[in-house]
Amino acid sequence: MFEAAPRFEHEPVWADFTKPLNEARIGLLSSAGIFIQGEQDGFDIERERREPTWGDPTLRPIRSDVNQADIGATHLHIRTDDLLHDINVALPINRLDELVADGRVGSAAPEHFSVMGFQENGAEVWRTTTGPEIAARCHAAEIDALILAPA
Amino acid sequence: MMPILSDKYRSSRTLGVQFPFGHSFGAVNDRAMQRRTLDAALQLLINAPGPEARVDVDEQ
Repeated sequence: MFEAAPRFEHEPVWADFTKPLNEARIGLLSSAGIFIQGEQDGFDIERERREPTWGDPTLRPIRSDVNQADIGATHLHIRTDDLLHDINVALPINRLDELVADGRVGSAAPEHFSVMGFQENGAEVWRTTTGPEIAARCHAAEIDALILAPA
Repeated sequence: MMPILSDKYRSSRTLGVQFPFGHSFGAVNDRAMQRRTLDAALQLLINAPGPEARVDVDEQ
């Protein structure tokens, strides 16, 4: 199925990364449908059940100091059980904090990001709204690099 | 699967892993595995020679 996907014909996006890692601020993005219970709504899987080719294209900023107990996940196409016990399987915020504590990474972003990865063909809202919002938040937080982790 | 899509979409840098869906960084509560995977991604960030760089890790 995936072998049949067309190849993207535009020039790939590229930026050199020249900042020393131990001075850099790193952010994380997961498509595992993670959200913060009590603060955010889950992704709209009910609508996805009614409209099986649609996926919630919105964004959930995830505070870097979020407690595991407050983590929720809504995704119809991956198992979220392990994620609800250990967010680091999909969004390794604690592992990143450890690398910062060890001096290998300069700092962690004050907030990371989650989206829900099942999107309609073209992912139009991701391109026009969600992606630009993520970029704006990264710029405002002076994030030097964002690790994108598809779930 | 994911590296196939990364190749199709010409991602700037791709770290290929063999973990199950929903486990991009490895097994639950396996701090060492998660850290190795994250570290591999960071090493790719700083060492990639140019666009469409891809490194596959052997851990499962």
